[in-house]
Amino acid sequence: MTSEESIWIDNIVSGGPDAELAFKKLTQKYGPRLYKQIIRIVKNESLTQDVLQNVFIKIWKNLSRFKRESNLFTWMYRIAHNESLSMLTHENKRKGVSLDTALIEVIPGHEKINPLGPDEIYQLLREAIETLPEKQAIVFELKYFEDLKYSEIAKMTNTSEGALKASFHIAKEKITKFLEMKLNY
Amino acid sequence: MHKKKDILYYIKPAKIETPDQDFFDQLAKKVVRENPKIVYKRSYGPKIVKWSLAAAAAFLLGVLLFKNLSHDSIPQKTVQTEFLAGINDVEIYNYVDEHIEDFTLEEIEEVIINEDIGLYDLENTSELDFFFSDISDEEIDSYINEEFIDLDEFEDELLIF
Repeated sequence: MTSEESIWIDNIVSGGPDAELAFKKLTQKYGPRLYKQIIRIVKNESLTQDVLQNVFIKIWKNLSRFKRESNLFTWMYRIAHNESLSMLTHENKRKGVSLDTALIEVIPGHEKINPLGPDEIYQLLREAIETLPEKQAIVFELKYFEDLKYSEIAKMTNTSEGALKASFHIAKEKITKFLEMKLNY
Repeated sequence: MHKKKDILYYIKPAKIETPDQDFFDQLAKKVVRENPKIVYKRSYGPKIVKWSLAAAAAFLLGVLLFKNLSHDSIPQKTVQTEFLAGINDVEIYNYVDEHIEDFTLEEIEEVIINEDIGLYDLENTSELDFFFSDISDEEIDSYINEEFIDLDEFEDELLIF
């Protein structure tokens, strides 16, 4: 967590006149990242906006409980992840979610993948990600989907680049194995 | 010989467009406006502290008015009694509630310590039972539990008990 973020948290928690501005800055900084994370789970733009709003309400209300020694992005990521899954469960029970966002492109040439549609493949990929421990899932999402540099992820997660590289490597192996198993290698 | 490509090679993430900055600004604004924060100021946090401040402030009012009127030839005890009799508890509490921010604990303490108010010996804590005689221990416990008040946070203020 940067010192700037620490000041934002102080201002938000104190609820004084600077709270709104600090919250706005926090939203500007992490909103797009969380938006992408959420849409990759709920796969629907309108639902994503609803979930994102719920996430920021939770952040706004519960930031005073955030322990400074842990990582702010990881904390927000967890809220967004839980909120997305909860919304997805709720919506699937209610009416089912209409997928309106293409989240992957399939490159032709793989005999096991080609017969499947992109939605099916993405669903498998999603299931694979859900099997990962949180830190590996975060690194995988930020590296694989968003192609961030390790140095950027290191700043966000307050982890060394070496540890991130190792985590990504392990995550990728686990996901590959999961997919291969599901595709009956 | 070509190395067999990883399965993830064939699955490429699509670019996700995010809303513009205005969307996030409006979102922040909406969240803040629709979810106002209730901020407890440390000095005046729980009502239990407020009650003791209210009682102390009532003393202060009494003392100040008593001083102003004490130049008259009427015996002090009578003025005190008449003055306090003329203001009911609700009025005092309402006044204090409205003006609680005007007094600091230090100001109230200073007046109480420096004035011989004659009514109660504040060093004798059993006399303070008067303030809380209408509130049962259960009500206080229940309030503290309901409000998730951490008494350790108010250690300084609660030393008078």
